[in-house]
Amino acid sequence: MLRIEGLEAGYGEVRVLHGISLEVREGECVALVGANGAGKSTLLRAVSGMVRVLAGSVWFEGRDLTRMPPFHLASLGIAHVPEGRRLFPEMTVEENLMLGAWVEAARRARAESLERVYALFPRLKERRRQLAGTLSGGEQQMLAIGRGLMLRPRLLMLDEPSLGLSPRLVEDVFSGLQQISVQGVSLLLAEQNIVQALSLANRAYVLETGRVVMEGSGLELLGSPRLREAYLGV
Amino acid sequence: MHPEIVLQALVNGVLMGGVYSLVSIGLTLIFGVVRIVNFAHGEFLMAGMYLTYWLWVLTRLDPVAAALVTMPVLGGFGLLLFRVLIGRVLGAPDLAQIFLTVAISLVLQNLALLLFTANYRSVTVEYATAALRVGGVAFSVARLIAFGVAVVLSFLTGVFLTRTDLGRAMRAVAQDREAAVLLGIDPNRIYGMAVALGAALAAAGGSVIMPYFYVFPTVGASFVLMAFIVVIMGGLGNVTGAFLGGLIMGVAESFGILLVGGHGGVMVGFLVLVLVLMIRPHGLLAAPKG
Repeated sequence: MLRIEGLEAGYGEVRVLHGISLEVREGECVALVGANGAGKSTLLRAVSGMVRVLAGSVWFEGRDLTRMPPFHLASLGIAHVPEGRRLFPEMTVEENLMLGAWVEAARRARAESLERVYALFPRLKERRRQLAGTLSGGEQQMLAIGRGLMLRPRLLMLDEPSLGLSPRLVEDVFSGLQQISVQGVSLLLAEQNIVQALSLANRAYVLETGRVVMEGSGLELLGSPRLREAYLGV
Repeated sequence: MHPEIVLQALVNGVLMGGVYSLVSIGLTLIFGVVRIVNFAHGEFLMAGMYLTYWLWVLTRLDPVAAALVTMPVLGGFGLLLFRVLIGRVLGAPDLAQIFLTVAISLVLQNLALLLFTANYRSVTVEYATAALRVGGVAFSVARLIAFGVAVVLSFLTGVFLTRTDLGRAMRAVAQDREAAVLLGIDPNRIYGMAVALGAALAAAGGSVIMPYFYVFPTVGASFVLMAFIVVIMGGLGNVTGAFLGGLIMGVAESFGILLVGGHGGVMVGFLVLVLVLMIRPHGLLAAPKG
């Protein structure tokens, strides 16, 4: 579904990704794990066209995303929930969600999608008339994910959905992601919360300074002594 | 001072302020969405006035009804201007953007000078001097109509921004362009529409003041100065703030003329701006950005 080959990307003169290759198959949940600054966010941003791609290619169902204007990706069914949530703070919860269904295909199913998102995150329904900027961190993250789901995406890319959340809220968010995954949406998840991410993921890639240093199934990596030593300190 | 004179100044100020609001909403919308300071905004108003003038001269079309023509024409012109010129400097340094819109302003002023000379021109509609009297206070019919149209258009702009998909997308681009792009919104399309809408609102302002205002090539300059004060007072990019700011500036100007005379209008306006900014540095309604 998504195939990245030899991707090099960065900001200005600074190259952050040094030849990354990875793949997300239909219906799969793939985790990108690694320390802060390993290039997880940059990778997702390069896929979305938010960062300049210097070399390599990004294929989504046979189309080269690097040759497309960034706003085009949503209409292909790619939703990107960016780092820091990036909600529209001065708009209500419901307005944020409606904007998630901007592209034509999603707009037709907007009312139904809205109900689905509210079913997944009932808190959002309670706060539908509230400005997004006034939500708590956990609610904001749910809204960011919900806004991504309004697209009815085929591929949902999430950047650090657990960042800044209490352990209980992290559980909530990941159980939401689990449900989304079960519904057949492919997930590409960049996370520093390695245990949660690897438990959810079918497969995972470990990034270090812009390179893939390990890959394998979530459980494999979770059991890998090298990974446990490097990231979990046990 | 006689209370009726004070009341009259207040009425005059509010009625003019509505037009300032309308023109300023266009300016603040362009700034908020496109992040460009449109120094040519006054020339949208000027062009709207000339178009209204010639429609009246050639077809006797009422200036207020002419807004129905000037809005789409200037809206189209704004869109064209964005596609051909403004859109190309969006990533450029601020200075390049300022030079471009100032240059557009100068070119349009001189084009008007070339085509229409520097003469002051006006239309004389039947209701030009008509007024409604309430107590000792006169409500000029022409100004009342201008105010009414301005308020209705401002309100409709608000409805558009809050109740339609396109309007919401415009606010989304203003609040977080990159997040909007990730949702599939084409920012260039939204920018073009914001400039078109801003130009159309300025043109409408130009049309509705024609029954009581002269048009000349640099008429936009005084309005755009007022509009900039209003936009800063209301909070950059804040439409509701611009609406309130316009009314406040109308009243401030009116009292400035009453108390100081002649050129006191703008001076008192600036004074009010300074006072507002002392209390609310980000403007009346803008939330401070962290």
